[in-house]
Amino acid sequence: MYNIFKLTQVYFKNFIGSLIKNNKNPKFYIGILICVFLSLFITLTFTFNSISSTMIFVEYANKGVVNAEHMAMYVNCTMAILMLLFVTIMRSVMPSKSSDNDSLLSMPITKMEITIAKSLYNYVIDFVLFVSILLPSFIVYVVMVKNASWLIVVRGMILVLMLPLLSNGLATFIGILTQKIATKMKNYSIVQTIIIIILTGGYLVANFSIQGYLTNLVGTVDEIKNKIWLLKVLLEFILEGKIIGYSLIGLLIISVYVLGLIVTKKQLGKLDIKDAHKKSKIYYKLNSPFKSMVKKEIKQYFNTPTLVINTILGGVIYFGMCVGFCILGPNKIMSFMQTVPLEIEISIDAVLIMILTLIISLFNITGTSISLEGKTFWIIKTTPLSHLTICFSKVAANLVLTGITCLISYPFVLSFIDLQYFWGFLLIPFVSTIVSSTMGIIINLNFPKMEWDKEEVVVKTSLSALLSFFLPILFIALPYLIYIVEISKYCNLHVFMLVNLMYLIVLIMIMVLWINTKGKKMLDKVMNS
Amino acid sequence: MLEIKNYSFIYPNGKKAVNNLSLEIKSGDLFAFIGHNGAGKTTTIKSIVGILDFTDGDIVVDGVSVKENTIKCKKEMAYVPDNPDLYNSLTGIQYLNFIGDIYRISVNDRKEKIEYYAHQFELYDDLKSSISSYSHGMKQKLALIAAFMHSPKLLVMDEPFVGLDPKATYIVKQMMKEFCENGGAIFFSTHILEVAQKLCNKIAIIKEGKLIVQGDMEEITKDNSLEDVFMELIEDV
Repeated sequence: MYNIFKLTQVYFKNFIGSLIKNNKNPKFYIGILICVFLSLFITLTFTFNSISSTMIFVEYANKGVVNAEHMAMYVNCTMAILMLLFVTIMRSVMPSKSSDNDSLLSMPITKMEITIAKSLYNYVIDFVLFVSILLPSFIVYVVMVKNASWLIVVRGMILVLMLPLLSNGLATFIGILTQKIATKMKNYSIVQTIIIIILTGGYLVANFSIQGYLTNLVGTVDEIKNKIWLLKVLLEFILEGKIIGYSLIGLLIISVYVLGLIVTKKQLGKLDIKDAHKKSKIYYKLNSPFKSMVKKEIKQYFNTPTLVINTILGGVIYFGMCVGFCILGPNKIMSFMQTVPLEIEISIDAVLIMILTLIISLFNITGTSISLEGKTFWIIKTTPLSHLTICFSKVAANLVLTGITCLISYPFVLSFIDLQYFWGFLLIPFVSTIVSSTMGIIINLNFPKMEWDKEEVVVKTSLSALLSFFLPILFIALPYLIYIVEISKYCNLHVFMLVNLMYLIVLIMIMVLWINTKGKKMLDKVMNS
Repeated sequence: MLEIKNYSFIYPNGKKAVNNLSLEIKSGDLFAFIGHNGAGKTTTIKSIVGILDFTDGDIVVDGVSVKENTIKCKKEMAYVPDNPDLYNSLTGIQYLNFIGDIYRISVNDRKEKIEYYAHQFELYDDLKSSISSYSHGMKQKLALIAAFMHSPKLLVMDEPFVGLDPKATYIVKQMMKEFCENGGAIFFSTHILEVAQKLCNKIAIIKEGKLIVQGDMEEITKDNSLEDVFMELIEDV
């Protein structure tokens, strides 16, 4: 027990230490402030979302619909399940072999103690995530629904306590299964990446199916509640405190978690056979230094599953949406949009271009690309590569990926838009990805994290990763916000798209100028730090 | 070939890692850079090859200042680090082709050199495998092939023999001698004093960032072993 406590303590100290390492740098505090702001923003967004949905169901209840307010909790439980799926997929990507395994195994600590300590650390991280999103929705329910007991929050917390156990347990099995399949293939990491893309796609399909299912529900509240056994049990437990069904689920969750621990323990100390079968031909081919750098970046990207899962979602959703909109057709999209209670009248094409642009801009791999060089950074620092080649090859690699995604999506785009706006749909999303990827490099130059042992430290917890996810979106979304709120009444969509394009080009020019002038200094500083 | 003029390096915490170091390495020199752990050897080497920025003093490679034209200097030299962290996502041959592309080595030239050096180090068949499956020694061999591949004028190495098997160590020593006989210059750090004494014609010893002694190996050691000379010098200063 003492060893488990000490080891878990070290993991947290290490995590906190990695966050506050550069605390003398004023940029560090700015970064922390932005991150705190963004975390608050996410929690508040979910809270407001919960308030609005609860308000709707409370109104239904006031109009006489029996138990309508229960539907608010139904939505909360659905959100919990979707989050569980998401966290499970994220966890399953993480490498099963940590760099500290060898040294820990050589110490007088049992394998089970090591396994439990690691698992506890993961559990707490996931728990914080679940709490920050789900707890506000339970509180909102108790505050807004008449006669609702605070025991609902307590029972909600019991559910939240169980969810990270399940996500960790399931992720262990998915991770091991992925590893088993991938190690039989030639390119371990790439096969693992493909499996992850399939899992991500599966999650998106599940997400949209559940959303679609919820919006198409008909019948009385009690009928709806009884349709899915799992949701019924969760609702009965949280709202009424019925524990029989929930105890069964709890037992199942604990069993999965314990089995996961046993399997992880068995894996400890086994040889890492990663890429053992990878063999390619010996070939000699001449490329320009820039092209060679781009190729290297793309290879590294697909060999870093953690990075892929954190960034590819934008590309997968973009393509999925284009296909989905193509299947639905313009009329159905229009009728769906009319259900959104917006007081401003804007054209369907303006909304579509905004959605598609923002989504593809999430496909940003440059925000951590310098940090991910890590200990190999000496290679590009000691070879005759200019800082421009280094920075722009990373941007170019990002553009190859977003470019391919856009290209394969264009035929579908053609089917659901007004053709006169096609030029905008062709240019704006792609140019926006130039903005997001170039901004990613600048952010990473300002907030590098070169010392790490696992990629996930950079991809998931670095300031650069967080900032490069949100900041470009803010800049790209700005013209749309102004358009929707202020100028849509008197501005033609062609004019707006042209101005938007010019705004994006100006942004790119400013950033290129920055990289050209300050970029070299920043790149040199990265290594010195 | 390499001139270090009044070079100093101060860490961000104010600690002086290297203090006013001046050295000259000429074509044909095999120069050993000796010192205890933390003496400032790696810091100096990293500044020469362009990894670390420095403000005090200057480093000149083949007549060009590293501060003024880093890229030109880098084209003329190669670096082998003490711990070669290479791109694990690439195979050995992919990495060598990548280096070949950066130094713009023609296909015929790179084929000839890769095949020669890879056979010398018995690494040819492993070039098809992913670097992630390589041992430390194999990575060191790959880094050495990449360094020799583009025929640099100056070779800078930090502990080049760490992790190499006896045969590879012998081959590297032969290659180093051959390289210098053909007009190249090598500046390398090592803790293996016997190797330094047998292999090198020049030596510099530093302690806590300050140069204690430099010059011809024979003049400094005379009839003594380098180990004895080193122990005597660092205890006296």
